[in-house]
Amino acid sequence: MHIIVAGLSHKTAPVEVRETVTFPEQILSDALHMLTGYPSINEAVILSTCNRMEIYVVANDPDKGKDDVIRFISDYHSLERDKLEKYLYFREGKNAILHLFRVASSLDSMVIGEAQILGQVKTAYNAAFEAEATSTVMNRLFRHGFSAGKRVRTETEIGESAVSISYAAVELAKKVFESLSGRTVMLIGAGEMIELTATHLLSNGVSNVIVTNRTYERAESLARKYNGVAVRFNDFVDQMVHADIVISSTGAPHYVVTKDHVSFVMQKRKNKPIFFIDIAVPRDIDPSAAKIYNVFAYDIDDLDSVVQTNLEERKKAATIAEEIVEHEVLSFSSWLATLEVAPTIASLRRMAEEIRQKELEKHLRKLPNLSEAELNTVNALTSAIINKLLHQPIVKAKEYSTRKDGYLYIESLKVLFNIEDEEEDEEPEGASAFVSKPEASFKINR
Amino acid sequence: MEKLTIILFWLALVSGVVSSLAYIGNFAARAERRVHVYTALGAALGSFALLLLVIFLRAQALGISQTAGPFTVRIIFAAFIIGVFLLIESIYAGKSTKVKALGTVVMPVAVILQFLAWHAYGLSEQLTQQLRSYWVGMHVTFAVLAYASMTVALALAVAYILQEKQLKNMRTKKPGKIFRKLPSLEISDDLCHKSIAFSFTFLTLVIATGIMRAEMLPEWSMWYMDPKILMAIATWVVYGSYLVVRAALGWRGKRANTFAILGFAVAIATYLIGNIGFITEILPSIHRYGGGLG
Repeated sequence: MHIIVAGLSHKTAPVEVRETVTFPEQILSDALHMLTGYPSINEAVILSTCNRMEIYVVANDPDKGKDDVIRFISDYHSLERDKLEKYLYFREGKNAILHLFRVASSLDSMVIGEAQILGQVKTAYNAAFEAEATSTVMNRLFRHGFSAGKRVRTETEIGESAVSISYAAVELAKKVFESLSGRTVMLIGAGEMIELTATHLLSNGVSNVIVTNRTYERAESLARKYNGVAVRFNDFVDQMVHADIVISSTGAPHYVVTKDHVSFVMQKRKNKPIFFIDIAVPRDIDPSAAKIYNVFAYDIDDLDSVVQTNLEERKKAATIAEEIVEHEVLSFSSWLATLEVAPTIASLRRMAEEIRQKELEKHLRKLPNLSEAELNTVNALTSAIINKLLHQPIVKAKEYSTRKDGYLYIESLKVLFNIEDEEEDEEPEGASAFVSKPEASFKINR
Repeated sequence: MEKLTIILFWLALVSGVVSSLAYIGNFAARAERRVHVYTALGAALGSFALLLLVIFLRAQALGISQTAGPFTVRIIFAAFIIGVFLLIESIYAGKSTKVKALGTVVMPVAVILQFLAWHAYGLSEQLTQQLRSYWVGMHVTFAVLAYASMTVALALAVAYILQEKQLKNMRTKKPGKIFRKLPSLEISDDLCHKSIAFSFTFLTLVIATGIMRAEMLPEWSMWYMDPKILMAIATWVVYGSYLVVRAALGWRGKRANTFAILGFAVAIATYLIGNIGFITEILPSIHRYGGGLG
């Protein structure tokens, strides 16, 4: 029973490769069936997002498992094996568990702390669960991964602050206004940035939209999109009196909103706070307007500095998150270890029983005249001896298996008694699920 | 009975310390632990309830007309300030989770008041004949309520000023931890306004009840020359002006909150007259009785 992950991500593969090796939802069930069809693979989950494609499997044998996963990917996507291997990374045992938990906690993401990945991992797992590609180990592994991801989100500030310009604008607005619901936003100009910011504001509760543009028709079309009102460019200062938030992004070479405009608006507003976001370069809003009482004005550089600070904060939160994740990996590993020990103990018992049966057969032949009662006594005697003899090793093996170096005891038991786990048909490998390879990835010898 | 009072008093103090530490810890920490949030709030509630019991026992022991002694007054002050905070929390917790930052100021202030009550006076408080009156009891209770809400208003005004300074200098000054823990400007401003309105109402009653009591006693007929009373009227004028300019001229935000801080400075000066020895010597006041009735 070996947990292996093979994958490629934004860290190892360029987008040209990532876009060819994907498993969209509609083919996922089919792909999982094919993958679990390989003899070495018992359980599988395929995680496919725009930044990563990862295959988590539980395999009988680590090398065969890896080999089968590579074969599966290259066959499924008709790719040359050598070309594919260049971009793939592998983790196994504890490192594979750690990898999944880090991915679910968005510690491995392009933007650390982003919120989508946990949901994507859940979707991937659910698809595998429905396709009946998962069993005991994967079910437990992924559920544990979700709780690790959740713990990281609630116990650290990893995803708390905005790391994009448009979110930073919303975050700042919420520092001024407790709630954005019922507020009015005014959009001056047009463009992708202004629309993105407006969308974020609307999803945070802003209810009224006023749009203005030098070309009135463009203002009208944008207003229709947000269910707002279009106003003529000549009237925008009068309309600004009703706006709590103003976003400006015009192509004008000079200030569109002057200090005088803002002074006028503030007087009309009776000093009710107003919040300006200037995303235009060259700037649209006279920066000296920011000095006016109860005016909060930000340009693109202000927002960028907020984003930079927040990114640093996320990095700090990430170190705490790593500790949480490691703790969770340990807790999962100890569960897995008890699972590991069960087949070994079963094998040990079976082996002892086989020896007893063989020896009984051999020696009873020499004692043909035993009565029924005497036979029973001999049976009971031999059983008692093996049970008493195995009692302590089994109890200790169960106990020690949950320790950090537990696999050593299980391995020793296997080596000393020359036994194999129940399900395995091949020769026992020197490796257990927990032989962790320190290298990040390595080449498969073919 | 006295023994029980003492036990309850110390329990309230310990609970106040626990709550203070939890609030401060939460404020200083990067991420809030839910356990700490509940501990802080639970201990604050506990402290409040215990203080109310102490006040009740004191009123039982001394009689209602004599509860205005220096020990009990400080306990009432501590209880009220926690009470005002808990009231705000119960109303605003749903709107903003950051209002609890107020606990980092309120709870330690309550602890200090309890400590001062014990350290300076203990249970051996005595009242002169002139102070044994229901009028004085009401006067002092109103005064304590007014001071409690003023303290809350001050904390909010300072929070506003700090937060606004950060928001206005976003690029030059990197936002610190405090920035994320303080409530939004809108909430600070609004709550400060409400606390001052509350405080002003009680301040009006303090002055009214004080004057009525003074008028009853011939030896206090010169009350209008008393420095503490004059300062109290000055405080009333400052807070009154805050409310007026806010309503009439739309002074809000920085200006209003600076005004609130100024108001508190005048209020503190008023409080100290009759409370601090050397000030009382320079400015003799009829409020010197019992060494600090607030």
